[in-house]
Parts: sequence; C-alpha cells; structure tokens
Amino acid sequence: MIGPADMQQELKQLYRKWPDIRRYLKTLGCDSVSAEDVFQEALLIYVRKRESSEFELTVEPFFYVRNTCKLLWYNQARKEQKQISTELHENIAAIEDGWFEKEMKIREVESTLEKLGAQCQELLQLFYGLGWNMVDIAKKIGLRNDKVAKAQKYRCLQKAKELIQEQELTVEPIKA
Amino acid sequence: METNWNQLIERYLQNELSEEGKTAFEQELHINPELREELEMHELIQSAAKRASQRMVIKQTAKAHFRHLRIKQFTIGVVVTAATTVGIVYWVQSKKQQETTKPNSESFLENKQEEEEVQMSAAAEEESIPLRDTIINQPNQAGDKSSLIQSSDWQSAEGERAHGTTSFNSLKSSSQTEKSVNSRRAAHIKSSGFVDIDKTLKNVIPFTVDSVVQLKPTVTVLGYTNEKLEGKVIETSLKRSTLEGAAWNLQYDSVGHFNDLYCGYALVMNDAKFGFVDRKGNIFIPLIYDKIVITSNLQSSKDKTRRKDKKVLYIPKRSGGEVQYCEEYIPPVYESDSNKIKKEKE
Repeated sequence: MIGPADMQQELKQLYRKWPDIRRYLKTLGCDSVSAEDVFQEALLIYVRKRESSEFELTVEPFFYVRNTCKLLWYNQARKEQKQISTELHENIAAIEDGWFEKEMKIREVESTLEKLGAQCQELLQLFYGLGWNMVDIAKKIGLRNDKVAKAQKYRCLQKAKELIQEQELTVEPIKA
Repeated sequence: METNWNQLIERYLQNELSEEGKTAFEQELHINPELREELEMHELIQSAAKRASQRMVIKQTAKAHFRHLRIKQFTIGVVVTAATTVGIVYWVQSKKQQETTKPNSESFLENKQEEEEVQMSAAAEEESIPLRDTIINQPNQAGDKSSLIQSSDWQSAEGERAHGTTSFNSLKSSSQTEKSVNSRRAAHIKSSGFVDIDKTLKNVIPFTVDSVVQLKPTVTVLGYTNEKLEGKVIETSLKRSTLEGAAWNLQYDSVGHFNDLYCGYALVMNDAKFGFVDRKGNIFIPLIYDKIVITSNLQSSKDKTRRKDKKVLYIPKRSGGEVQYCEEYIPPVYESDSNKIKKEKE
C-alpha cells in the first residue's frame, strides 16, 4: 500500500520518463495520440495495482509501466486489427491474468459512466473514489443537504445500471 | 424491495453490516442469483467510479508536469538568451578594449622599427633618386595601420570655420587610393613624434609601384603627439628655406607641406597641437588637435580607438583624382611659386 502523497511523487517521477515510453511505443507502431492515452491508462493500472495488498512490485515502476503500455497497446491494436509485430505477440501471455481482465471490464464501465451527467459523475467519484461523506459531498456539488445528496446518489446509481445494461445489450450481440 | 437490496448491498460493500447481517446477506447471495448480479453490478460501478477519480489524479499530475516543463523550458530559454546577450556585449567590449590598449603598448616599438626602416630606405633611395623640387607637396600615404583616437572630425571642424568650403568628404576605396597615390609617389611614413625634422626631409621619396607590396593600409597618421608632448608634423618636409620670406612659418614648431590631399593647406604644429594653415599662413583649422589622421573609413577609425584626453582630427582620404576637386583650390606650391611669393613680399 502506498499513501496518496507518495503516489503523487511517484507519478511525477514516472511522467519524467514519458519521452522514453513514447519512443518505445512508437517502435511498436503506436502513434503519438494513442501513445499518450496508453501511457495514462498504464499509469492508472499501476496506481490501482499499488493499492491492492496482494500486489508486489518485482520490477522498477518504470519497467512495470512500460510493460503495461505494451500490453495495452497490444490489446488496442488487436481490436483495431492493426498489424502487430511478432515480438509483441510473444511476450504478452505472461502478463495477462484474471486481474487484468477484470480491470478491463471496470475500464469499460468507467467509460460508460462518462455518459452520466457531470454532477452524477462527481458525486460517485467523491463517494466511492475519495470516500467523502454525504455532508461534504452535498456542500461540494451544491445540494441542499446530505439527504438530498443520498437520494441523488441513488438516482445516479440507477441511471448507471441502466446505462451499463444498455451497453451490454448492444455489445453482446456483436461478440456472438 | 429493490431499494432495500440496494441499501444492503451498499452497506455490505462498505463493510457496515453487523456480523449476523453479513452472514445473512452472504447466505442470501448463495440462493439469489439476481442479488449476485446486483452486487456485481454495484461493485463494478463503485470500482469504475473510483477508477475515474484516480484517473483525475493522474490527469492533474500530467497537467502539472507539462506546465512545470513549459515553465522550465521557458526559463532556460530566457536564461540562455540573457547569457548569450551578456556574452556578446562582453565580447564586443573586450574587443574594443583590446584595440584601445594594443596600439598604445606597441606604438613605441613600432615607431622605433619604423624609424629605422624609414632611415634606411631613405638613405638608400636618396642616392639613386635625387630629391626633386618640382612638386614638394605630394601626398604622403603611408602604409601603416595606426592608432587612432577620439572623435571630432574634419567636417565638424569645417563647420566651426566660416570658410569651411573644402570638401574632404570623399571616402575612397583603399586600393584605388593606394594605387593612384603610389603611382605618383608616396613617402612611407609612420606616425611619431620621434621622427626628426631632418629625417622627415628625406621622407619625400619617389616610390615605384612595384615597391609597394602592401596595398592594405587605409589610414595615415600625419601628426602625432606623444605623452611627453613632443610632436612633429611627420608627413612633411618643410623647406624652411623656400618659405624664408614667409615669416609666418617661424611661428610654428613644425610645418608640413601644402598638400593637395587637404586642398593645399599645410599642417602645422605648435606646442604639440596640430592645425592647418593656408598658403598665406592664415589659420584654417585652429591648432587644437593632438593628432591628425587621414583615413579611408572614418567611422571605423573612430570606433577603433578611444583614448582619453586626446583630440584627433580625422580627414577623409581622397584619391589622387579627387584631390583636384577642392572647392577652394589653391594650386600646389612649386619652388618657383614660393620664389614668387618671396618676390611679392619683396
């Protein structure tokens, strides 16, 4: 586990390596716009991994992030049916696991949540992400009191569920 | 009912249920697939919301990083620019200083060598080529770089004088000037107050074109006063004898030719100050200058050196042809002319 302040510091360190990562991704055929997304995603995964108690960092953060970048880019390229270098193919299997699969599922839901209103998004992020209490959240997003905030949270959750189910309905037929 | 489930799920996920409640809930999970699905959904949304908040943190870090980077780059840019500017300014100044100090420190040596050179060549050529009386007022274009000093120029001097009608404004390319002048004849003279008047007499020596290898010089020092305030008009050989009738020349410590190069005026020196007089001995340029310099590039000569408390008169260099175009042209003095003057005086 790692404190938020230390995490910030570590993120800063990793951002200094961004030019290296970008160069690396370019050698794998990734354009610079995708590269930035991939890098951000990899950092996010790194942050989330560091939070889970089971995770043990066996390599330098930089190499972990770089490998994650590679994996993410591999997935993206496969989806977009781009040419994948054989070198990329070979080393991928080792990294992919159950955690990663679930993470990708969460990522999908995350992007679905972006369809919610801004207030709903903020509310859910504050409550689930940062663990704020309802009183503070109500103040922050301009609701009368914590009860209103709680009711609003319920509505947001319902809306989110609907969106996810919609998403699954539209996605699954394609899969099949 | 659903609402209840929702609350229960929430509390379960937040770990807020009592032990019994938790056990009961987990039992219900076993038998109720709908609840399992609902729980899974909840978990997903919670994780996704958390993930979104974490993404915000990363985005903020990225923003801060790139802003920091831009500031750093900008700062480096400013610093580099400032440093370069300072460097250039410093370089220019030190170069100026070098140029100022160099002639000072070396002038003595140069003068010595030059003097010897002049003497030797003068002695050698004197034998073969007799000094002719015909044209005594020849331009003495010396082939030397020389130390130049302070500002104040011919034009300004002209302005002061009411009859500043001469036009010395023509700046000529050095090579052309050199050729035309040298093809006539030129004395090879270096500045200095060390040159004796008797020696300078010998300086009016015909120069053949071949003997002038050096075409580079653009500047001639005609009169120069050293620190001890010893000075001579060095471009000249004054034929005091020829001017005997003209009493005015005795007023001066040193008198030069009436030279076409400066429109037939003569350079004179008194108390280590130089000036110009016309043929009748009237002062044309007052005797206030420490140094007289003819230069083909006025500005560069001025820029080159700045010596304190020296007043220098810069005269634009004129080529042979242009010498003719003085507005107030006074014909060169020939031996016979000066005789005439004598006679007139008589």
